[in-house]
Amino acid sequence: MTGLSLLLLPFMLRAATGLIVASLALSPVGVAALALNLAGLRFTLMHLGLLGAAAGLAGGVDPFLAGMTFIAGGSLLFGPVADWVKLDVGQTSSLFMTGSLAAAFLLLYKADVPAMEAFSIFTGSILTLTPRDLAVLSLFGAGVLAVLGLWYWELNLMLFDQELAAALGVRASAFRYAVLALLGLAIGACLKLVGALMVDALLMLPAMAALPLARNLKHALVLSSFFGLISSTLGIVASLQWDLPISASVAMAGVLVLAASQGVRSIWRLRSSSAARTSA
Amino acid sequence: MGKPCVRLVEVAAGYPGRPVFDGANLEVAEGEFLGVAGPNGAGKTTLLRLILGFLKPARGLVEVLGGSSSRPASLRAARRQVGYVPQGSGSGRLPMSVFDSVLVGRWGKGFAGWRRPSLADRQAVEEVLERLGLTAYRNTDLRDLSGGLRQRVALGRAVVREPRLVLMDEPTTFLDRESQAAFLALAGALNRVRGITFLVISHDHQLLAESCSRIVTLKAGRIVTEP
Repeated sequence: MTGLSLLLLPFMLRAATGLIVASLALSPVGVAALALNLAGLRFTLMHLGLLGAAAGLAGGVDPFLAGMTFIAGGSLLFGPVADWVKLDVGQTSSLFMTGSLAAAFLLLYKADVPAMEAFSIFTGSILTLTPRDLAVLSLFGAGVLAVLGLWYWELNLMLFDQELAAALGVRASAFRYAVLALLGLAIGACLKLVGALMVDALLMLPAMAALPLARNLKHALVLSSFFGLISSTLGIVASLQWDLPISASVAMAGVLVLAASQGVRSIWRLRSSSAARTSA
Repeated sequence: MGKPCVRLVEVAAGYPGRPVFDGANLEVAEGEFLGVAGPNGAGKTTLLRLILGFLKPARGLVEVLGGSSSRPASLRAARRQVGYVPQGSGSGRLPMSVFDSVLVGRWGKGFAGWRRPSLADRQAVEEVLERLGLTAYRNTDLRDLSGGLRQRVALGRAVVREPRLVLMDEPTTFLDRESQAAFLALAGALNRVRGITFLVISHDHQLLAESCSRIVTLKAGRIVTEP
């Protein structure tokens, strides 16, 4: 079996479906994270994932599951801890990142755990996606879309002006915590698909491609989903057709989609400025 | 003086290691157009934070529209009737049409969560755009507007809420003199026609003197009414 016919294999079909579900449902979370300036936190959450993987290996638990649990826990704790210690997001991020990296290395050393196994969390394991994983991912994706739909106007207000949102009665802190938790859970969900290093391919690149072209938040959310879908599909096809690693192919497709969106944006700008010159 | 819209009684408030108010008193009557003047650091923004419930007084009472701002239930009720124009009012990180950026002002009043903006919410926005001369810009991205027009949109966002009280924090900072006067004249007209109470904070005493019915000045932790 070669090329696209590989999709007839159940594990390959599950991998492709998982990627498409994740890109459709999770890319919009990247829009919220970018617009609320929380994008940098993904590195902190990834380091927490490494600590979780190390703890999992030391305790005989699946490192992916442990990594995802640590990321989810960290994303729930991050906001309240930042407020409690009265440090800004950048400082708290450094605290979490350095602390978790140090703890991971200490754990790897003392528990005599093979470090490379813990680092496997960074490369992902999409071909081992089980039907149960896929079901959980689909449910989570549906939940993410429902939450974004439910909070559309609150998100709009928060992205517009957080102080104004709070003055109108939006619980701004709770909202930021919720977006953070959503980001953490989305990163956790992406871990098994493409690995921590490629999380950007599913979460951030489609959002970055969507933002310059969007006319409002709704467009940005829909476009990010669309670009995520395009990146995943192109990545899967390229991977099967030319025998390339899936995660790297999806990430490269994401980069190309981003470059194309920037190109379209530049053409729009040129056209609108020449139209303005003509009318003047 | 009519029924107080905002009342501060012997308020002490500030930040750790930096007290701002000590024994401050203020009454803003319904329908007033009050200017709050004072140099930088005098506590103008702290006063707004107290009224908005972002800052709790260490001592004393802050009442907004008849309810204590320390009680969550009365604070929530007050917020539904308060419009707010923050300093340099947001251009946002995402594109947003003038229509939508006024519509968000109805949040919590007309819609929230699963409750989507209704026809009544949209009609209210159209009316405000018309009243403020913004109809021609309804589909324009807010970020493409001049500073003066953007502040007019911010005023629209505040009044579309059908508020009893509008709080404005240095609303004219980034405007030229002509636009400043035009903006405050527009707010003054809304004050007279609709009876909305305005509390305007500015370091520009002369500008406040030209537009406000009364001016208070912040001095040494107190609020002093000017003669």
